[in-house]
Amino acid sequence: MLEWKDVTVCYDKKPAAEDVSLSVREGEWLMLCGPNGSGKTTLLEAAAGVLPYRGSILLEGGEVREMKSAFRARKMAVLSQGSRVDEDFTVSETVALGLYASRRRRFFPAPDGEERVARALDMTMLTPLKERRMTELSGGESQRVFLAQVFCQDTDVLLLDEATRSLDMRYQKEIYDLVRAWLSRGGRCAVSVEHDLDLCRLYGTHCALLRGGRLVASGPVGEVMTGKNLKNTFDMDAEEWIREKKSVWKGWMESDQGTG
Amino acid sequence: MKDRGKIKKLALTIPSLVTLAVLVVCVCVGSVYIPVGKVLSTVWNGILGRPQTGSAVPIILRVRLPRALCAMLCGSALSLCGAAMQGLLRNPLADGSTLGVASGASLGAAAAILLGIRFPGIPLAGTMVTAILFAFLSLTAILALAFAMDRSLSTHTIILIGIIYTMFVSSVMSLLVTFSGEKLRSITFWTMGSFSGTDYPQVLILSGTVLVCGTGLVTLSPELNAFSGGEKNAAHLGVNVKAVRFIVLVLVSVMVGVCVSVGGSVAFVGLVVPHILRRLTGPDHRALLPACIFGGAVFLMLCDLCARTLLSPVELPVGVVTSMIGAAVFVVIFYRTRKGVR
Repeated sequence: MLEWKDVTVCYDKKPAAEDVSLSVREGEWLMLCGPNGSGKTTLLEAAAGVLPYRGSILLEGGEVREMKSAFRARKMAVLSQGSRVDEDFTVSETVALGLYASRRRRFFPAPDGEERVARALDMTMLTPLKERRMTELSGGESQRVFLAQVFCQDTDVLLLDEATRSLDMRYQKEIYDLVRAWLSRGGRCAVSVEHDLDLCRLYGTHCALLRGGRLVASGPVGEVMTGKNLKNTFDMDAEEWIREKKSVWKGWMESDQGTG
Repeated sequence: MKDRGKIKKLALTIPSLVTLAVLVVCVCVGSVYIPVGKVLSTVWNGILGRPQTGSAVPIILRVRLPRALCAMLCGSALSLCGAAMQGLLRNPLADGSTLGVASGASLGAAAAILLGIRFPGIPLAGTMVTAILFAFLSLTAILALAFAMDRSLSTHTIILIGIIYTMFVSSVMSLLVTFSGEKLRSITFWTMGSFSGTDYPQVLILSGTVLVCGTGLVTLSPELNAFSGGEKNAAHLGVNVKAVRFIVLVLVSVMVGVCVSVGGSVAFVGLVVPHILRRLTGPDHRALLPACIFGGAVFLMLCDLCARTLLSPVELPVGVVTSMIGAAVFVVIFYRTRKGVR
């Protein structure tokens, strides 16, 4: 559904991602992982049509850079970290902005607009909050509204750029569970930029490890997230670090505190 | 659905009637009071081209009506510009004047007066074209400087550059005034704002500008709504961000340039009116921008009425009245933003 072919993206002539080839198929959730500055967001933004690139990015067979903005937005939605609206829109008005690319004529919304907004609000459990102003919501609730907005876009491809960063674990789980439920309806795929390796293992079907703008490894999560690959990617003994974290949790779970 | 259609019709009918009523009041009231009936019959006969006599006829047709019409159209244009810029830059304090565009247009008009720039056969064209050109160049310079300093083009940077640019332009204006000699009076006019002496050619030019550029901005309402989540979010929603930004900036520059060339620098209209109306219509630009057309017209006509009647026979520049009200609203906005008051 989405494919990067020998993609190079440069900032001020310096490559931030170099000769990267990746693909995501129906039903897959690809996690882009790697240290800061490894080119994860760059690749995502190039696919979203926000950054110019060399090589080829194909969305359902069509070259992304040649697509008109509205056409692209009908096929692919993007959820960025910390999205917010400055205006005093309500929750349902913000969600309805996701209908922009689908409207028939300039001032007339998509024919199934109301239904799509209601469905997106329902999927994200925002129906009780639909009349609330965006400025009254917490960071987690606000991010959920933007997730509803991308659901309202009704696309088959979803890109998430550190969508749960700065959210507490309850909202992280909520957002990722919602995306997993969305993905399970078939004919869809998702790509996430994610720093949390636990979330990658838990939710991702596939993973691409990047370092210095180059691809270290890619494939099914279980095959890619090995100690060797993680060491090559993060330049540290990631396996040891994960084991250390695990032992802390294990100890806590077995103690009275954990069970209490 | 029928009720909604009715509400939509009323939503356009009531503001139109209020605007017309204020226009009539502005023509009636002045140093000489003229009854409403007389005003209406004179205007009607004037439209039909019937010969008329009496001392009130020239006051109505040659002085007050074109002046009120210019104030009405400038009010609409400046309010639209303010609302569009606030939406585009996601900043409630943005408008043509706070970003230095109006100052740039004033500088253009002053330079045209001082250098005697004229286009043969087209009255006012020299001042008008130079004002529009300077308005657009100012905006380009402000955005280019802001971009050089901050690649994300944050609104704070744009406003800061706008303020610096305004200060720079005011110093250049002072320099021009110093060397203006007998043209001092004309140049001062642009800096204070006034609709005194405006005539039907200006009304015609303003009408055309508001019709073309205003329609353009109203048409871009859905895009301006999409900008409320930031440029990146707008792009993700399917907006052609670069094209929309460029079109809005050009339309705003043309409207501000034309308004400044007709009425001088009338500050704060684009700030005050959208803020008041946003509380009535909400943030949706599809409702806000049409409301600004009427709201801006009423606001500036009333300000102009105050300017010429408050200290009669002395006439205040309309920019003084709008600035006084604007400054007060500015303080209220800051206070409410800081305190988080709705």
